[in-house]
Parts: sequence; structure tokens; C-alpha cells
Amino acid sequence: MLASEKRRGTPFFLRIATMRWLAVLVFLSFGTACFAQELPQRMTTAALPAEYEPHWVWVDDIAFGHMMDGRAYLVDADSEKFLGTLSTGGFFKKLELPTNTPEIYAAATFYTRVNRGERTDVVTVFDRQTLSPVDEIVIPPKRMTGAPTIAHSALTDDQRFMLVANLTPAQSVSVVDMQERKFVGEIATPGCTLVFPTGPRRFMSFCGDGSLLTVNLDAEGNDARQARSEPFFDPWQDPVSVKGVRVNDQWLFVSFDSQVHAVDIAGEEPRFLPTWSLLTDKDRRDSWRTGGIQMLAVHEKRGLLFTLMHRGGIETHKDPGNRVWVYDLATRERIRKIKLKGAATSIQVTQDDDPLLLAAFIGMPKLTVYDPDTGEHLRSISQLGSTITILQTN
Amino acid sequence: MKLLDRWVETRTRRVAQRTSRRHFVGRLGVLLLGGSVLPLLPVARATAAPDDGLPDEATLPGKTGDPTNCNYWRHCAIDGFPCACCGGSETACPPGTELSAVTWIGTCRNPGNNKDYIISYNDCCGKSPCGRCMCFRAEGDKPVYLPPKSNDINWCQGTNSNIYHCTISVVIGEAGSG
Repeated sequence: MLASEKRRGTPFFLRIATMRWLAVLVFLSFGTACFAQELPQRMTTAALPAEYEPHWVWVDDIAFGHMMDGRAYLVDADSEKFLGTLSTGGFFKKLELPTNTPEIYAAATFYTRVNRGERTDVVTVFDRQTLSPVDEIVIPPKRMTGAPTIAHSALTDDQRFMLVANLTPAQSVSVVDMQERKFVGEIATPGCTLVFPTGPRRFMSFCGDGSLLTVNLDAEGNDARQARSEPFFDPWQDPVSVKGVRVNDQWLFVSFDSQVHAVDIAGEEPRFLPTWSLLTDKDRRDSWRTGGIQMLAVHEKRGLLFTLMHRGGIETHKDPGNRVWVYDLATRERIRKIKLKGAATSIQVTQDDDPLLLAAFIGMPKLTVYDPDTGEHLRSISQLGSTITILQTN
Repeated sequence: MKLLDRWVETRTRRVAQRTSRRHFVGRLGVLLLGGSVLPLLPVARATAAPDDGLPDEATLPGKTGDPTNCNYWRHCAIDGFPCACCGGSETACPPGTELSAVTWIGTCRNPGNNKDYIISYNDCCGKSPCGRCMCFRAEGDKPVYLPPKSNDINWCQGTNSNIYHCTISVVIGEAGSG
């Protein structure tokens, strides 16, 4: 009774005020306790080591549904860890991975309004540890666009000059001095396309008559001398695919009919070695052939050629495969057949002493990893962008 | 992802139609733009298009008269997204896209009269890829060192923006009629 009288005796506004102060005190004491506690973690941005592991793989994504947003993902094919992304830009083809500087280069196209506006083509220089762009060199807005190959751009063997294939549809090559960070000039390569490095200051291009054009650069990267070879195949009878692979001083190419054309590039002029077939008579009867986007891979030290195979007619030369056949390049014998876990359009092999075979399909954003000696499927790494094209090892 | 799923699904269905299950890997997934088949030349004459004498497409068997379907007779060498699925038609670019004048031609047989017709595959450009009804029929395709015969090349060229959106399939004339 007294208490209630007392309460009744306290003015209403005072009671409210007291409650408010109490609330503030409680909040402050609680809040102080919270803020007084030191944060357990410091927020940072991760960085990569200057030297990458041999099983770290670049997975290039042309982002076909939104082509101005090309990317490359760095993935550890052992631990399945996703290590980082390069946002490379429009019409992305592939990376250049120099070994003499902790940088990565990529040619790309940009419009001022994403899909419209003024077009600018650049070579972007990325830092290998931060994966951030650190420089760019503007090149003529003429880059060849469409399906990626490993020959849409290249570094000369001395790693000084980056070469970028153009098609407007006039064919030419842009030369960029990566040391001086400047565009050197454009070399006309009429009738010939793509860039395959063949020496410290030399590259070759495929020509429409089945020959190769060799271009020698001078010390500044200018066109010093061009030489055209004799045709080494008939593009109308059995076209040779440009989706080749380099093994030491040779470039290996495979025709639609799975004939191997080895081009020796040790000398100034390319030398064409005798062709040989990937197929036995039975293979041919069963319609086996190579196909895909990146259908060849090599292990240089072991002298092994890996080919992505499927069954189909001559018009299926770009189709995916679910078999990888392994050849000893010294004997030209097939030493192994590997059955993949699914279709693939790209294959790659790491170059270390304990290599991995990698495969990806453009329609499935996943990298699959195999033991190249046993063919055993080791692991799959999923959620890798949208449309995987080229796989690159470090 | 849905677009990609649909693309993969469409391609997979096509594989199933055209190959046995043993040949599972089939033809899925090469991303290229446009298409090609003999004879192929880069031309800028898609505006010609005399449709005279063509059988009524509504009477053609199966889906060969449906320009939104990969089996549409004019798509025999296409590799990309048919514009009929993208707000255009087999002869019209979708609203707001730009018709590429530089193109290439193929030869397709009309199932209504079994005559061969020259088809011009023009790309429509300037917007992100349409992403619908992905159709890949690369018969006669050659590597990029023969550009007019290669569908590995983006043929959005000579346009204000070089970004590929979809492809139309226009009848230029009867094959062999000059």
C-alpha cells in the first residue's frame, strides 16, 4: 500500500526519466564491454607468393554470355583451393605468363559504355602477387575476336615483345614492347593469321594456302624480315587445325583427319617433319578424331603428347571429347588411353615431375583433375565462372 | 546460369538427335559465332533476299520451318543464337542491334523442294550475346586462316560495336543460279 502510494506520489515524467537513464546506463555498460574487447582479426586483402606452385592453374573464362567481362581464375589443382581472379576485360583470349618478371599480361577490348561507345584495345599488366592491374599499353582497336586459341597472342621467346593478332578482316599483328611498356607498331601479315613464337625475336603465322609466314623482329621489335614457306598441307583436302602445342623446338599441329604435322623451329626457317597419324586403321573405322577448343597438351620433359578424342565425322573437328590418348613423341606410339569423367573441350598438363592432367568443358564451369599415368580421376573443382576456354599452367 | 543451362540443354538435345548414345560427347559446346558451309565468301548483300519461289515454311516437315529451332533449314551452317529467338526473325535483327554488313554465306537445302539455296549469315551486333536457342552446325567450317570460311571468327565487323548478339539467316538466291 505504501509502495503504491509512493509510486503514485512520484511524478510521471520523473519515473520515465529515471527509466531512460537506467536504459542508457545499461546500454553504455554493455556497449563499453563490447568495444573494449579487441577485434580478434585484422581485415586484409590476401596476396599470393611471387613464385606459384606447379599445380596452380589458370582457368580462362571468355564469359560468353557477357563477353566484356572476361576473367581468369587461379586454382590449386591439388587442394581445390580457389586462389584469385584476374578481371581481364572484353573478348578475353588468354594470359601471357612471363617467367622473368612477376607480372601477367592480357590483351583485351573495352568500350566506354560496356557494350557501346568508343572501343579501346589494351594490353593490361597485372601484378602476379596482388592480381591487380599495374599498367596498360593501348594498342590499335583491331584485335581478332571470336573463339579463343593459344595463338591469339604470344610472347617472343626472349619475353621482350608481346604479339597480338588482329583481324578487321585485314590481318596484322600488333607488337608491344613489354620492357619499355610501349606499342611498337603493327606488322601487316596479309593472308596469314595468329601468332606462334618460334625464337627470341621471331614468330610465325598460318596462311590460307597452307604455308607459314615467318616474321623476324629487329632489336626494337620492328618487322625486320618476312619469309613465306612452301605450303605444307592442303587446306581444302585435310585442313590443319591451328590449335597446336609447342614442345621445345617444335610446334605440333593436328589435321582434321588426325594427322600430326610437326614443325621444327630451331632454324631460321620452319622445317616440316614427316607427318604421322594418331589413328590406327581401326580407330579410323570407328571415326575417332581430335576435337575441342584446346585439344592438345604436352609434357615436355617426358616427351608426351596428350590428345582430346571423340567419335564423329569430319565436320566434328571442334566437338568435345571424353577420351584423352597419350603418345610417346619419341616412338610415336600410343601408350595410354584415358577415359574422362565427362566431355571436355580443353585439356592441359602441368609441367612438373609429378604432373596432373586437367580437363574442362566450355558448357560446364568445372575443372577436372586426373593422374596422367593411371587415368584416375582425382578431383573436380566446380563453380568456375561460366564458359571455360583455355587452361594455362605456370 | 539459366541461360547457360538452356544452352547446354539445347545442345545436348541436338546431340541426342544426331548421334547414338555411345557417341555421347557429340557436338556440344563450341562457342563460336555464326556459321559456314561451302561456298563461303564474305559478302555485303544481305539486303537482296528474293524469297520468290520458296515453299511455304509452314508446310515444311518437323521443325525445319521453325526459325527458332536449330533444325530450321536455313540454319544449316549457323553457329550462334538465331535472332528469331532474340526479338528479331530469320531476316531481321532484334530492336536496337546493328546489322553487320560483313558476312559469309552458306548453302542449305530446302526440304520442301530439295533445292539448294545460298544463305547469308549476318550477325546482329552491339548488345551482349542473346543467349537463347544456341545452335551449332559447323559443317564446312575451316580454320581461321581461311577467314571467309571460318565460324571461329566474330563477324560483327564494320559495326559501331563489335559485340555479337545473334545471327540472321537470309536467303540470297538459289544455288547455282548465278
